[in-house]
Amino acid sequence: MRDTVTQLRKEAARLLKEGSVKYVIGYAQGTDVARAAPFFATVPGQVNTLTWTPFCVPNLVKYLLDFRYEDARLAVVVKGCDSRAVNRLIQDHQFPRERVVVLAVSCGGMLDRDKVLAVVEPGAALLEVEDRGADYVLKTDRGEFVFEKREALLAKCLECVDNAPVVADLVVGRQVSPPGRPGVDRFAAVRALERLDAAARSAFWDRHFSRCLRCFACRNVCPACNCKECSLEQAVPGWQQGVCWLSKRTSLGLNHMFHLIRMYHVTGRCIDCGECARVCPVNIPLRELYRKVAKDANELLGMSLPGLDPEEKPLLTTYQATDPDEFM
Amino acid sequence: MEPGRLEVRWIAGAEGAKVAQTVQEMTERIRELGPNQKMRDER
Repeated sequence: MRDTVTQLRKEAARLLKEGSVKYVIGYAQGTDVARAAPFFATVPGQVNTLTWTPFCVPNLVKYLLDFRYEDARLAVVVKGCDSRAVNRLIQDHQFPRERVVVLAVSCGGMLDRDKVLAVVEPGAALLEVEDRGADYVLKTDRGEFVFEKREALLAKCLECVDNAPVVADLVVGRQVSPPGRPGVDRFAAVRALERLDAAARSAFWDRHFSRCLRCFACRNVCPACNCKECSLEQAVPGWQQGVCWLSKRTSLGLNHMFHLIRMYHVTGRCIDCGECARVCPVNIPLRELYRKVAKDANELLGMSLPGLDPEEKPLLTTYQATDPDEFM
Repeated sequence: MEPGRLEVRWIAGAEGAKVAQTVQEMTERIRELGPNQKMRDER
Protein backbone atom coordinates (compact mmCIF):
# COMPACT_ATOMS: atom_id res chain seq x y z
CA MET A 1 0.00 0.00 0.00
CA ARG A 2 3.09 2.18 0.00
CA ASP A 3 2.51 3.17 -3.66
CA THR A 4 -0.99 4.31 -2.82
CA VAL A 5 0.20 6.44 0.09
CA THR A 6 2.99 7.99 -2.02
CA GLN A 7 0.62 8.83 -4.85
CA LEU A 8 -2.02 10.17 -2.45
CA ARG A 9 0.52 12.51 -0.84
CA LYS A 10 1.79 13.63 -4.24
CA GLU A 11 -1.70 14.49 -5.49
CA ALA A 12 -2.59 16.22 -2.23
CA ALA A 13 0.58 18.31 -2.38
CA ARG A 14 -0.15 19.22 -5.99
CA LEU A 15 -3.71 20.35 -5.19
CA LEU A 16 -2.58 22.43 -2.22
CA LYS A 17 0.35 23.95 -4.10
CA GLU A 18 -1.91 24.96 -6.97
CA GLY A 19 -4.19 26.56 -4.42
CA SER A 20 -7.19 24.91 -6.08
CA VAL A 21 -8.43 23.47 -2.76
CA LYS A 22 -8.55 24.87 0.76
CA TYR A 23 -8.15 21.49 2.47
CA VAL A 24 -7.39 17.95 1.54
CA ILE A 25 -9.53 15.88 3.88
CA GLY A 26 -7.90 12.51 4.37
CA TYR A 27 -6.68 10.11 7.01
CA ALA A 28 -3.76 10.21 9.42
CA GLN A 29 -2.47 7.44 11.65
CA GLY A 30 -4.64 7.47 14.78
CA THR A 31 -3.81 7.12 18.44
CA ASP A 32 -3.16 3.40 18.23
CA VAL A 33 -2.03 0.91 15.64
CA ALA A 34 -5.54 -0.01 14.50
CA ARG A 35 -7.02 3.44 14.15
CA ALA A 36 -7.00 6.14 11.49
CA ALA A 37 -8.09 9.67 12.31
CA PRO A 38 -9.56 12.25 9.94
CA PHE A 39 -6.90 14.75 8.94
CA PHE A 40 -7.24 18.12 7.18
CA ALA A 41 -4.10 19.04 5.24
CA THR A 42 -3.99 22.79 4.68
CA VAL A 43 -0.48 23.34 3.29
CA PRO A 44 1.73 21.12 1.10
CA GLY A 45 4.11 20.60 4.05
CA GLN A 46 1.44 18.61 5.90
CA VAL A 47 0.75 15.99 3.28
CA ASN A 48 3.25 13.52 4.70
CA THR A 49 0.84 13.03 7.59
CA LEU A 50 -1.74 11.63 5.16
CA THR A 51 -1.91 7.87 5.12
CA TRP A 52 -3.87 4.94 3.77
CA THR A 53 -4.25 1.78 5.87
CA PRO A 54 -6.94 -0.88 6.30
CA PHE A 55 -8.18 1.16 9.27
CA CYS A 56 -9.42 4.17 7.29
CA VAL A 57 -13.01 3.32 8.18
CA PRO A 58 -14.55 6.80 8.81
CA ASN A 59 -16.56 8.22 5.94
CA LEU A 60 -15.08 11.70 5.49
CA VAL A 61 -17.72 12.99 3.09
CA LYS A 62 -19.91 14.36 5.86
CA TYR A 63 -17.23 16.96 6.61
CA LEU A 64 -18.13 18.68 3.34
CA LEU A 65 -21.31 19.91 4.99
CA ASP A 66 -19.28 21.97 7.45
CA PHE A 67 -18.26 24.05 4.44
CA ARG A 68 -21.51 24.11 2.49
CA TYR A 69 -21.99 27.86 2.97
CA GLU A 70 -18.39 28.75 2.22
CA ASP A 71 -16.82 29.45 -1.11
CA ALA A 72 -13.99 26.99 -0.54
CA ARG A 73 -13.17 24.08 -2.79
CA LEU A 74 -12.24 20.90 -0.92
CA ALA A 75 -10.58 17.62 -1.76
CA VAL A 76 -11.79 14.53 0.05
CA VAL A 77 -10.38 11.02 0.15
CA VAL A 78 -13.06 8.37 -0.36
CA LYS A 79 -13.40 4.61 -0.54
CA GLY A 80 -15.84 3.11 -3.05
CA CYS A 81 -18.63 2.96 -0.46
CA ASP A 82 -18.00 6.53 0.75
CA SER A 83 -18.18 7.84 -2.80
CA ARG A 84 -21.93 7.14 -2.80
CA ALA A 85 -22.22 9.77 -0.08
CA VAL A 86 -20.80 12.39 -2.44
CA ASN A 87 -23.57 11.60 -4.92
CA ARG A 88 -26.16 11.77 -2.18
CA LEU A 89 -25.06 15.27 -1.14
CA ILE A 90 -25.09 16.36 -4.80
CA GLN A 91 -28.58 14.88 -5.28
CA ASP A 92 -29.84 16.75 -2.23
CA HIS A 93 -28.26 19.99 -3.49
CA GLN A 94 -26.22 20.13 -0.31
CA PHE A 95 -22.86 20.51 -1.97
CA PRO A 96 -22.03 21.51 -5.55
CA ARG A 97 -20.06 19.00 -7.55
CA GLU A 98 -17.61 21.65 -8.79
CA ARG A 99 -16.53 22.51 -5.23
CA VAL A 100 -15.30 19.02 -4.40
CA VAL A 101 -12.31 17.12 -5.68
CA VAL A 102 -12.92 13.43 -5.08
CA LEU A 103 -9.73 11.45 -4.47
CA ALA A 104 -10.87 7.84 -4.71
CA VAL A 105 -8.75 5.03 -3.33
CA SER A 106 -9.25 1.46 -4.39
CA CYS A 107 -10.13 -0.33 -1.16
CA GLY A 108 -9.50 -3.98 -0.44
CA GLY A 109 -11.60 -3.93 2.73
CA MET A 110 -11.26 -2.51 6.22
CA LEU A 111 -10.03 -4.58 9.15
CA ASP A 112 -12.09 -4.93 12.30
CA ARG A 113 -9.97 -3.10 14.88
CA ASP A 114 -11.14 -5.31 17.74
CA LYS A 115 -9.89 -8.40 15.93
CA VAL A 116 -6.56 -6.73 15.20
CA LEU A 117 -6.10 -5.43 18.75
CA ALA A 118 -6.73 -8.93 20.10
CA VAL A 119 -3.42 -9.89 18.47
CA VAL A 120 -1.37 -6.72 18.05
CA GLU A 121 -0.41 -4.46 20.92
CA PRO A 122 -2.16 -1.09 20.59
CA GLY A 123 1.12 0.79 21.07
CA ALA A 124 2.85 -0.88 18.14
CA ALA A 125 3.85 1.41 15.29
CA LEU A 126 2.44 0.54 11.89
CA LEU A 127 5.32 0.61 9.40
CA GLU A 128 3.76 -0.83 6.28
CA VAL A 129 0.72 -2.72 5.10
CA GLU A 130 0.63 -5.16 2.25
CA ASP A 131 -2.61 -6.16 0.56
CA ARG A 132 -2.09 -9.67 -0.78
CA GLY A 133 -5.65 -10.14 -2.01
CA ALA A 134 -6.82 -12.80 0.42
CA ASP A 135 -5.05 -11.26 3.42
CA TYR A 136 -3.33 -8.21 4.82
CA VAL A 137 0.21 -8.25 6.18
CA LEU A 138 0.74 -5.61 8.86
CA LYS A 139 4.41 -4.80 9.34
CA THR A 140 4.93 -3.19 12.72
CA ASP A 141 7.91 -2.43 14.95
CA ARG A 142 6.88 -5.49 16.98
CA GLY A 143 6.83 -7.95 14.12
CA GLU A 144 4.67 -8.96 11.20
CA PHE A 145 1.05 -9.99 11.49
CA VAL A 146 -1.09 -11.63 8.86
CA PHE A 147 -4.85 -11.16 8.90
CA GLU A 148 -6.98 -13.24 6.62
CA LYS A 149 -9.62 -10.97 5.10
CA ARG A 150 -12.37 -13.59 5.41
CA GLU A 151 -11.80 -13.67 9.18
CA ALA A 152 -10.84 -10.14 10.11
CA LEU A 153 -12.67 -7.68 7.86
CA LEU A 154 -15.68 -5.63 8.90
CA ALA A 155 -19.04 -7.23 8.10
CA LYS A 156 -19.88 -4.53 5.57
CA CYS A 157 -16.61 -5.16 3.71
CA LEU A 158 -17.29 -8.89 3.41
CA GLU A 159 -20.55 -7.94 1.66
CA CYS A 160 -18.76 -5.59 -0.75
CA VAL A 161 -18.58 -6.96 -4.30
CA ASP A 162 -17.92 -3.65 -6.06
CA ASN A 163 -15.32 -1.27 -4.68
CA ALA A 164 -15.18 0.99 -7.73
CA PRO A 165 -15.94 4.63 -6.87
CA VAL A 166 -19.22 5.91 -8.32
CA VAL A 167 -17.77 9.41 -8.53
CA ALA A 168 -14.10 10.36 -8.72
CA ASP A 169 -11.84 13.08 -10.05
CA LEU A 170 -8.71 11.08 -9.40
CA VAL A 171 -8.34 7.40 -8.72
CA VAL A 172 -5.30 6.95 -6.51
CA GLY A 173 -3.15 3.87 -6.15
CA ARG A 174 -3.25 0.35 -7.42
CA GLN A 175 -6.60 -1.22 -8.29
CA VAL A 176 -7.43 -4.00 -5.84
CA SER A 177 -10.26 -6.50 -6.06
CA PRO A 178 -13.27 -6.05 -3.75
CA PRO A 179 -13.14 -8.26 -0.64
CA GLY A 180 -16.66 -9.71 -0.85
CA ARG A 181 -17.31 -13.16 -2.26
CA PRO A 182 -19.26 -12.81 -5.56
CA GLY A 183 -22.94 -13.55 -5.00
CA VAL A 184 -22.76 -12.91 -1.25
CA ASP A 185 -26.15 -12.14 0.30
CA ARG A 186 -25.93 -8.49 1.31
CA PHE A 187 -29.05 -8.82 3.45
CA ALA A 188 -28.20 -12.04 5.30
CA ALA A 189 -28.26 -10.34 8.72
CA VAL A 190 -31.62 -8.73 7.94
CA ARG A 191 -33.07 -12.05 6.80
CA ALA A 192 -31.94 -13.67 10.05
CA LEU A 193 -33.91 -11.04 11.99
CA GLU A 194 -36.93 -11.43 9.72
CA ARG A 195 -37.03 -15.13 10.51
CA LEU A 196 -37.63 -14.42 14.20
CA ASP A 197 -41.26 -14.20 15.30
CA ALA A 198 -42.69 -10.82 16.26
CA ALA A 199 -42.14 -11.31 20.00
CA ALA A 200 -38.50 -12.33 19.62
CA ARG A 201 -37.83 -9.49 17.21
CA SER A 202 -39.46 -7.08 19.60
CA ALA A 203 -37.29 -8.39 22.43
CA PHE A 204 -34.19 -8.02 20.24
CA TRP A 205 -34.81 -4.34 19.52
CA ASP A 206 -35.99 -3.64 23.07
CA ARG A 207 -32.67 -4.97 24.32
CA HIS A 208 -30.72 -2.70 21.97
CA PHE A 209 -32.88 0.42 22.11
CA SER A 210 -33.00 0.37 25.90
CA ARG A 211 -29.26 1.20 25.84
CA CYS A 212 -29.65 4.20 23.52
CA LEU A 213 -28.26 7.37 25.12
CA ARG A 214 -29.79 9.63 22.46
CA CYS A 215 -26.31 11.07 21.84
CA PHE A 216 -27.21 11.72 18.17
CA ALA A 217 -23.87 10.30 17.00
CA CYS A 218 -25.70 8.17 14.39
CA ARG A 219 -27.39 11.25 13.01
CA ASN A 220 -24.31 13.48 13.14
CA VAL A 221 -22.15 11.05 11.21
CA CYS A 222 -24.82 10.17 8.65
CA PRO A 223 -24.41 11.52 5.10
CA ALA A 224 -28.15 11.03 4.56
CA CYS A 225 -28.86 13.44 7.44
CA ASN A 226 -28.26 16.97 6.22
CA CYS A 227 -31.17 19.03 7.59
CA LYS A 228 -30.16 22.27 9.26
CA GLU A 229 -32.89 21.79 11.82
CA CYS A 230 -33.47 18.21 12.88
CA SER A 231 -36.97 17.00 13.67
CA LEU A 232 -35.46 14.68 16.28
CA GLU A 233 -34.04 17.54 18.28
CA GLN A 234 -36.81 20.05 18.77
CA ALA A 235 -36.83 22.03 21.96
CA VAL A 236 -40.21 21.18 23.47
CA PRO A 237 -41.32 22.50 26.84
CA GLY A 238 -41.87 19.82 29.44
CA TRP A 239 -45.64 20.19 29.56
CA GLN A 240 -45.81 19.44 25.82
CA GLN A 241 -43.58 16.42 25.87
CA GLY A 242 -46.41 13.94 26.28
CA VAL A 243 -48.24 15.18 23.21
CA CYS A 244 -45.31 15.31 20.76
CA TRP A 245 -43.99 12.38 18.81
CA LEU A 246 -40.69 12.66 20.58
CA SER A 247 -39.10 14.49 23.46
CA LYS A 248 -35.43 14.47 24.34
CA ARG A 249 -35.99 12.26 27.34
CA THR A 250 -34.56 8.76 27.03
CA SER A 251 -36.90 5.91 27.77
CA LEU A 252 -37.52 2.67 25.93
CA GLY A 253 -40.69 3.87 24.23
CA LEU A 254 -39.19 7.16 23.14
CA ASN A 255 -36.00 5.46 22.00
CA HIS A 256 -38.13 3.21 19.79
CA MET A 257 -39.81 6.28 18.37
CA PHE A 258 -36.46 8.02 17.84
CA HIS A 259 -35.00 5.12 15.89
CA LEU A 260 -38.14 4.46 13.87
CA ILE A 261 -38.35 8.11 12.83
CA ARG A 262 -34.70 8.11 11.84
CA MET A 263 -35.19 4.84 10.00
CA TYR A 264 -37.91 6.33 7.79
CA HIS A 265 -36.04 9.58 7.32
CA VAL A 266 -33.06 7.78 5.78
CA THR A 267 -35.23 5.59 3.54
CA GLY A 268 -34.01 5.91 -0.04
CA ARG A 269 -31.12 8.04 1.21
CA CYS A 270 -29.06 5.60 3.28
CA ILE A 271 -25.99 4.59 1.27
CA ASP A 272 -25.14 1.78 3.71
CA CYS A 273 -21.73 3.09 4.72
CA GLY A 274 -22.33 1.66 8.20
CA GLU A 275 -20.99 4.72 9.99
CA CYS A 276 -24.05 4.87 12.30
CA ALA A 277 -23.29 1.47 13.77
CA ARG A 278 -19.57 2.21 14.00
CA VAL A 279 -19.95 5.42 16.01
CA CYS A 280 -22.73 4.14 18.27
CA PRO A 281 -21.22 4.15 21.79
CA VAL A 282 -23.58 1.38 22.91
CA ASN A 283 -23.28 -0.80 19.79
CA ILE A 284 -26.85 -0.72 18.53
CA PRO A 285 -26.92 -2.66 15.23
CA LEU A 286 -28.33 0.32 13.33
CA ARG A 287 -27.22 -0.94 9.95
CA GLU A 288 -29.65 -3.85 10.23
CA LEU A 289 -32.48 -1.42 10.94
CA TYR A 290 -31.87 0.78 7.93
CA ARG A 291 -31.07 -2.14 5.67
CA LYS A 292 -34.43 -3.72 6.50
CA VAL A 293 -36.14 -0.71 4.91
CA ALA A 294 -33.66 -0.73 2.03
CA LYS A 295 -34.42 -4.40 1.44
CA ASP A 296 -38.19 -3.80 1.50
CA ALA A 297 -37.81 -0.83 -0.82
CA ASN A 298 -35.75 -2.99 -3.13
CA GLU A 299 -38.29 -5.81 -3.16
CA LEU A 300 -41.41 -3.64 -3.39
CA LEU A 301 -40.22 -0.71 -5.48
CA GLY A 302 -37.05 -1.99 -7.11
CA MET A 303 -34.88 0.58 -5.32
CA SER A 304 -31.17 0.10 -5.91
CA LEU A 305 -28.53 1.23 -3.46
CA PRO A 306 -28.89 5.05 -3.11
CA GLY A 307 -26.03 7.22 -4.28
CA LEU A 308 -25.00 5.19 -7.31
CA ASP A 309 -26.14 7.84 -9.76
CA PRO A 310 -26.11 11.60 -9.06
CA GLU A 311 -29.02 12.11 -11.48
CA GLU A 312 -31.39 9.62 -9.88
CA LYS A 313 -34.35 10.95 -7.90
CA PRO A 314 -34.57 9.89 -4.25
CA LEU A 315 -37.11 7.10 -3.67
CA LEU A 316 -39.58 9.10 -1.61
CA THR A 317 -39.76 11.97 -4.09
CA THR A 318 -40.79 9.83 -7.03
CA TYR A 319 -44.02 8.13 -8.01
CA GLN A 320 -44.72 5.55 -10.63
CA ALA A 321 -48.08 4.20 -11.68
CA THR A 322 -46.70 0.71 -11.21
CA ASP A 323 -45.93 1.22 -7.51
CA PRO A 324 -47.67 -1.45 -5.38
CA ASP A 325 -50.97 -0.23 -3.93
CA GLU A 326 -52.67 -3.13 -2.13
CA PHE A 327 -53.60 -0.75 0.71
CA MET A 328 -55.96 1.17 -1.59
CA MET B 1 -45.25 -4.25 17.56
CA GLU B 2 -47.30 -7.38 16.92
CA PRO B 3 -48.69 -7.85 13.40
CA GLY B 4 -52.21 -6.53 12.91
CA ARG B 5 -51.83 -3.42 15.03
CA LEU B 6 -50.85 -1.16 12.16
CA GLU B 7 -52.88 -0.72 9.03
CA VAL B 8 -52.57 1.72 6.13
CA ARG B 9 -55.67 2.43 4.03
CA TRP B 10 -56.08 4.97 1.31
CA ILE B 11 -59.60 6.39 1.48
CA ALA B 12 -60.93 9.35 -0.45
CA GLY B 13 -62.71 12.22 1.30
CA ALA B 14 -65.99 11.20 -0.34
CA GLU B 15 -65.90 7.64 0.97
CA GLY B 16 -67.38 8.21 4.43
CA ALA B 17 -68.94 4.77 4.69
CA LYS B 18 -65.58 3.15 3.92
CA VAL B 19 -63.94 5.14 6.74
CA ALA B 20 -66.56 3.95 9.22
CA GLN B 21 -66.32 0.36 8.08
CA THR B 22 -62.52 0.33 8.16
CA VAL B 23 -62.43 1.84 11.65
CA GLN B 24 -64.99 -0.65 12.94
CA GLU B 25 -63.09 -3.61 11.55
CA MET B 26 -59.82 -2.31 12.92
CA THR B 27 -61.35 -1.66 16.35
CA GLU B 28 -62.67 -5.19 16.60
CA ARG B 29 -59.33 -6.63 15.65
CA ILE B 30 -57.50 -4.47 18.18
CA ARG B 31 -59.96 -5.49 20.95
CA GLU B 32 -58.95 -9.10 20.41
CA LEU B 33 -55.26 -8.17 20.63
CA GLY B 34 -55.78 -6.29 23.91
CA PRO B 35 -54.00 -3.12 25.03
CA ASN B 36 -50.77 -2.18 23.30
CA GLN B 37 -47.74 -2.68 25.52
CA LYS B 38 -45.20 -0.92 23.31
CA MET B 39 -44.10 2.69 23.77
CA ARG B 40 -46.38 3.18 26.75
CA ASP B 41 -43.79 4.15 29.32
CA GLU B 42 -44.10 7.88 28.60
CA ARG B 43 -47.88 8.00 28.53
